[in-house]
Amino acid sequence: MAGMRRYLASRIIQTIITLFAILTITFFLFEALPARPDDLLSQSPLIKPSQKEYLRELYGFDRPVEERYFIFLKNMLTFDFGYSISFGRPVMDLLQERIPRTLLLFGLATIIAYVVGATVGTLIAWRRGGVTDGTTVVASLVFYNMPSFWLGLILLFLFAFILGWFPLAGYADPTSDYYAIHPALDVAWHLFLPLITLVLLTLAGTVLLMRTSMLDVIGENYILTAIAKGLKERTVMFKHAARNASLPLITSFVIAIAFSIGGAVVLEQVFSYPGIGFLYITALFQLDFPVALATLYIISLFVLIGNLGADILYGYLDPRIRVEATG
Amino acid sequence: MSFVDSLKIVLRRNWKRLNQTWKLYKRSKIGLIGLAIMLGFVVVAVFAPIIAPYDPQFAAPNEDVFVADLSTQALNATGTGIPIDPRNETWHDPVPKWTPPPESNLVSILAYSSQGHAIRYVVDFVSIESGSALGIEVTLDTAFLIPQNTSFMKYVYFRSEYYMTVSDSTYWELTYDDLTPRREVNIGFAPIYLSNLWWIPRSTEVVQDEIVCFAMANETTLFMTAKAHPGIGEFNERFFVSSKQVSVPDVNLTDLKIIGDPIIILDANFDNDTLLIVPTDKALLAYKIDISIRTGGLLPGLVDDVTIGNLFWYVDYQAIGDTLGTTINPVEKHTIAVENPGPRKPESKDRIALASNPGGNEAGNLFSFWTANGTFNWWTTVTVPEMRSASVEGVHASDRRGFLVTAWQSPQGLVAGIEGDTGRISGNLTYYSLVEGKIVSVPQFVSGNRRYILSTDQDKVYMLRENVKSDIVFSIEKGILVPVVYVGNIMTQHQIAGNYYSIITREPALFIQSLTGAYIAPLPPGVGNSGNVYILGTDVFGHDIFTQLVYGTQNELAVGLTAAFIAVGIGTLIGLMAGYFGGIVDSILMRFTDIFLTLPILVIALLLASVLGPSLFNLIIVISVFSWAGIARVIRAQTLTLKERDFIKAAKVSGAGHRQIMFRHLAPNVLPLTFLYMAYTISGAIITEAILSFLGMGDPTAITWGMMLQYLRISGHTLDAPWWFLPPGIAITLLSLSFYLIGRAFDEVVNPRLRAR
Amino acid sequence: MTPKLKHLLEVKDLQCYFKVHEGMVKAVSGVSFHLDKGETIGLVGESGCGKTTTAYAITSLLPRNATIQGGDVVFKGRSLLTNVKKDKTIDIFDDEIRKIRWKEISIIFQGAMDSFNPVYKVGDQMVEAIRVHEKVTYEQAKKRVCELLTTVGIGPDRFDHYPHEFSGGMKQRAMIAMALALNPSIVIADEPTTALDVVTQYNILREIKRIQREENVAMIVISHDVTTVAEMSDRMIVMYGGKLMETSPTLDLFENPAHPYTMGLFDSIPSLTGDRKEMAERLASIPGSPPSLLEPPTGCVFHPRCPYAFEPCDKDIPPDVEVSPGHTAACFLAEDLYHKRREDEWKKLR
Repeated sequence: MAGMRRYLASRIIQTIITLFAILTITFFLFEALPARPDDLLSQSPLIKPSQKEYLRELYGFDRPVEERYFIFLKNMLTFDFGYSISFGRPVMDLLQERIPRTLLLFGLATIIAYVVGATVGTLIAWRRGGVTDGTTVVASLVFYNMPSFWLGLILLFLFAFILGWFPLAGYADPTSDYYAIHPALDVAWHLFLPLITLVLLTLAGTVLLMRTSMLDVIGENYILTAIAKGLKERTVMFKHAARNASLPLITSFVIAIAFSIGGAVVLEQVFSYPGIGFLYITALFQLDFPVALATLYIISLFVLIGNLGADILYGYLDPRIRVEATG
Repeated sequence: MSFVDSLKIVLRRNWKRLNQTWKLYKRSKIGLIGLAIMLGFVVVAVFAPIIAPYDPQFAAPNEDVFVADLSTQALNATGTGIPIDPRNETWHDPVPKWTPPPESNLVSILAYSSQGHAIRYVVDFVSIESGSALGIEVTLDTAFLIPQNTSFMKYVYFRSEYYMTVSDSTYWELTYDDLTPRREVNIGFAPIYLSNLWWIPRSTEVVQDEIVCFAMANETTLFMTAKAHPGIGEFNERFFVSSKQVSVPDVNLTDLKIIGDPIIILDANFDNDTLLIVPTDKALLAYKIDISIRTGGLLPGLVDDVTIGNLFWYVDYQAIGDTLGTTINPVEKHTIAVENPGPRKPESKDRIALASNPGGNEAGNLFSFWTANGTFNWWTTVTVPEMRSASVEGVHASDRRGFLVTAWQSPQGLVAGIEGDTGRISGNLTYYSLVEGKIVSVPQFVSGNRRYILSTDQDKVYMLRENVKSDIVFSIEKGILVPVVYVGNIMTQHQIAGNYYSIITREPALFIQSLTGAYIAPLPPGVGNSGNVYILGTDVFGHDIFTQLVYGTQNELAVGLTAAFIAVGIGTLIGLMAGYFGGIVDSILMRFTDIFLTLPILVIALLLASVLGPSLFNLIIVISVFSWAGIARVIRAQTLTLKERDFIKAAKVSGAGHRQIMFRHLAPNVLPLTFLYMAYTISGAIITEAILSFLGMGDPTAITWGMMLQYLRISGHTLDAPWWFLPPGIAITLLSLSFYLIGRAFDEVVNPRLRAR
Repeated sequence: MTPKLKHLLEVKDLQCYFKVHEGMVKAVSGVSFHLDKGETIGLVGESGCGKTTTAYAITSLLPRNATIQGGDVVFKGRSLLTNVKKDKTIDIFDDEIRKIRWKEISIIFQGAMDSFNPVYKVGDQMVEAIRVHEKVTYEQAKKRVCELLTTVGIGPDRFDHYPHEFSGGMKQRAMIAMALALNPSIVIADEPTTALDVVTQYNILREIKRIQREENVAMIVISHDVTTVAEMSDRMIVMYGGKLMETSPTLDLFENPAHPYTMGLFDSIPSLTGDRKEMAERLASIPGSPPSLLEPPTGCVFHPRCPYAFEPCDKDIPPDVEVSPGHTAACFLAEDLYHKRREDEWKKLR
């Protein structure tokens, strides 16, 4: 893997630059908010005076903008977020509670959607035409163009409200029967609907993309070579065709993650799933700026790490890109 | 040559290619479907005022969104073990129990008969969470045996709850729970006339006290009961009775006959006197109620005794009549009424009004006296242009200064508001209503929705506004057996659901109805009471969903197209520059683009929207900011390829400037790609707008489908109004899908590999 | 008792049509030829004449919309078209045909194109070809591949390289090596020298000739470049419009072409004198354009462009005339043309 190190290095540098760009944009956006943070602090009932002092110190309200900027950067990079204005608790605590929940939802959904999507896309592209192809494509098109929260509402309405199979909100319910059997089962029961929603939405995109990509790849000459060599159909389909067709899929992940994490955030609202997205929106509306800043930062970090991961995976899968990176 | 000119040349030159493009595009089924759907929406947007059944500001009228919330319970008590034959019993005014003010929440209603039976019903309010529609729920509690010939019952809470009851010549207090007697007092006669229940709060330095008084009378005798709270160390409440025969120490006024309900008032003008005012056939009498307070001893300040005292003042009808040149001939039962005490100013005086009919064909009169000393104030004749010789039926308390008078001249009844100061009909002689039939109930004021309610013998219930103008009439088909009684309001979790009245119908059945009705918006698709058709129903404000959908199309298209146009414009420009100039410019621009590509859009968009504020314009900006990056990348790649083509090189060699090359030569050639991505961007913009609006960042003044869904979420009706939440979502999906399909079909034209063989 | 095998490979009246949006493309309409052990056939014709389709059809390397409307392909006495379904489409991944592929019949694709999968190492792809058909370990196969690479002049250290790290010529040679890996009976070379520079072309040709000498495989060389093919082929097959125009031992074909199309092809061979003007004239080649395979001309498929076309040509399909042993041409005037009785006419027309 000769070019790998070079490639990795260039991608990491890019990630760092982007991180700084995001932090800078965030900083100036928060500066531009009409409400002054000091006022917000004083108005909040839940936060102790000692915590208020800490926040004032931490964010340096009395300093000029330039200094505040660097203080802000330092805080973010050292993960020193202070206390939440609306909860009165350390922000870090809140994050530690919620990040795993969102990771569970989003991570699981992404993995399922991509794996299933790649497989389905491969299969229907291979057997082009026919009823399965048509219906899958139409269904994917519809789900792809559906607003995420609306699908969530429909599923919530159908399965939680009308049929009552799933809970209407939350993450875990220590009083439920499922919890009695095993807490993980209860969590799974709560997770199911938001997960399905997110999976369906992401799946639509992956299926369509994989299908298109496969159609491209199938026409390539090396597929003909593979068939001519006498390989089994499955081998040609997956080892040769899908392997190549999955490259654009990974590229799209990089762009898609920025959007689909937004989808997860919205869905947390719809399902009242207490993850980090829910926290972000609540904090934003309550102008709880330590929490809002911290969650925005963490979410952005996720996106960047996700991107980096995808880029590394891509570099591993496509040897050509390693050469380009050095060039 | 300008860009437009060269574009025209390119178009002309490529007409054949365009035609071919169209032919290829046509081959794609999904492309045609997408195009058809999109054109459909465009048509809807353009012809919105014609297609939409209502104006954008339209809200469903009250008669559609308010529905009489009612309940009918047949008066039978099967299963309670008490044999009741409802049809053969004489039923009286239903007795409500409600919680103390300020909630005054209706809890139960008791119907009782002279035959010694009572049936109680529990009233509850059904809300959404239980699954069924909004409304009251009346269920049978149980039936009871009560003293025979009960003629009066009232729920009282004084230290404990009980029903104050009068049957024959006995005064009872029956426990609320099972109507067992806990006090029995012999009145000595069967009362015909009853006073109000009078509460006097008293507090001294030592104690907080309360007195409640109630007076009864037959033609000659008054009987009063009073209760006071027990003192410290005492267990029982104190109970006092007193009685008096009416007489006036004046030769002319002998053999007085009490002819109407007495009234107990607190006259605060002088020394806080408590008075019992009694109408007789010849004079109006005012007795002082003596409240003796204990002084000294273990418990000073407590009430020791409450009795009917001496005659305080009296009004001789004859004397007054002679002075005025008329006859005072008082009506029976609702003879007098006391003015509602206004703000206590030193100079304010309370009045009492007396209703009288001179006889013959003349119209009835009202006479007014000061409560402090009985001196004459004014008198008036009750006539209105439509009714010149109505006979007065009674005078009643009004909710404001002044009185209400009811009168009758066959076949109509009259109710009018009387000004306290002058005796004239209030509102410059306009505050009155004519009703069908004789008014048989005491007009009751419902402070909740500021209306009076009364019923007539033509089985009608009227609701009148404060200006005594009736605006709602209920026809009770089942017939009114026992006239209307205001029974209080019912609270839901968040608010007062409505004010209710009840009657006993001829069935007989207990009939309870809300005065305004339950608010039932959002309405499901169908026809409303007003005849308006709501194709897709309404939202919680009464807006027609279909209308909103149609007008929303305009905003959706506007936002989508504008945002996409800006995004594509910026993206193409940056892509062109990066690809064309290469080198440092390229690197910087691409880094910049990459940053925007990897920004988590929704997260930052929300922040941006918070900063900028909710408006359609800002929404467009936010969407554009996040959409241009993808296009820039693609255009750059295309430019890089085109750059090497001969015609570009030729242009360079011929000395064309950068701008010329970029716009005259390169730009028209990247146009197909631009169009392609524009379609996809519009598709994405529509979805993004929906999400941002849903989360609260949308423009509250503009109708978009995302806003419709946001209102749905806020109103809390998400789960019970599918006609509200399905159409906007479907519309968003369809519109976005249509542009996406157009993009895909065009993609197949541009990238032949995608075409089906 | 098994009858003695006449030919190694026999293509009998093969009809292969493609289902398309507009109808049926008649890519191959009744082509017959045979191939014997050790001999090399050159399959030539314009682009789209059906030569590639014919060759690929042998091992059912056809797209999903291909149908076999008739005919057969017999290899070592057994039909290779047992995988044709009732609706005439082909089961491309039929087990029987897979066994034959590469082990018995391999193909040298145009290496300059993406005939190697870009994400796997070249060596591994060659190993894959071996291990599909033979039960050997990775190391054993790798050893053989390295040997093969050496044979074609590529260093064995290149085993671990990716296709994008190979030059066009190297890829072509690797392709050749891979094709020979299992010692097949037939090797089909598809446009072996197209898209390569002249020097590389020369090297490749040399390679192919070496194979012919040393490996004793039968070859089918497909090309639109008549001269190159002629150098390596024992016999030539000329196709046009999905049909066989002429087949003959190479020398006889050049000296005595018996079909107007063949004559036109030869005439369009660029002159070696390098006279630009002359070349420009000659390269005008055969006037007209290739026929639509969707709706081929009636009668003789060449008749719209044929200078000798006369009455029966647009009505009847010309018979296969054997003008000399092993030399047949599908033309009403085959005999005349063979014996050069029409030369003056031809000269006048040119």
